[in-house]
Amino acid sequence: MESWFVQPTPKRIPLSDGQWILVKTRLTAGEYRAHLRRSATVSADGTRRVDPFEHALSLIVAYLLDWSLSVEIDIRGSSVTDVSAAVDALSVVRFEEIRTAIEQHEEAMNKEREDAKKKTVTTGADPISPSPSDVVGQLSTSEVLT
Amino acid sequence: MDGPRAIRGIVGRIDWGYFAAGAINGYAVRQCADGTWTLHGTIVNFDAFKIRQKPLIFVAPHKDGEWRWPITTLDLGDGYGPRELQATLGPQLPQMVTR
Repeated sequence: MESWFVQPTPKRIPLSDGQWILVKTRLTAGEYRAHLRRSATVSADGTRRVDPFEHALSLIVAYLLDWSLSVEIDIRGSSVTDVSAAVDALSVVRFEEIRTAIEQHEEAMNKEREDAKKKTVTTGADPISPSPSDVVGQLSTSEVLT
Repeated sequence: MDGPRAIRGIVGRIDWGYFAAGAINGYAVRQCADGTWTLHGTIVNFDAFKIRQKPLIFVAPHKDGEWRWPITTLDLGDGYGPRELQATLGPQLPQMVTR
């Protein structure tokens, strides 16, 4: 059974021109929440809405650990602010390439988890106790208490 | 009598996966006769959750990359703030070249 906790294992994703990015395999609940917080803007009435422009940057920053572009800008171990600044410094085309790669990675991880869940359901563990329909005969008797 | 030779450094860290679990300022790593290693240093900052996870790796950066050892036992000591750290390490891991 898959652990309920996220293990910090990285995954390397190849990009064009022989470049690559190193990303988190999965986000923890805390990292996902931070990602949502960064993606949201607060309206005048106080409600939060997902800002599609911030969402893409936030997704990249949530997953990105390192890249092969360190000769120009080193991001390994950098803060969210510094990684955001580095990602924002990319050309639009390269930004989109990285965004697409990370979105595809996230989809693949979600699909993997769903497939694993389906497998668990179909193979099925033994029920802990028999269901009520399995019970036959009289369940209880009533007697007058004296 | 001289003890085992030590690798001494200033900046070191303890990683759990890609997370930094602890920051070390001043350390000495010594190889024992049985091939294992010991780490003695000062831990100046750590994440209370991450430092208790496994596997932990001690990382000693140098000018061309990093020396790394798996941590087998770790004693953080007591108290608050920077404190002495003692650890036993497994065989040295392949060197990571970062530059």
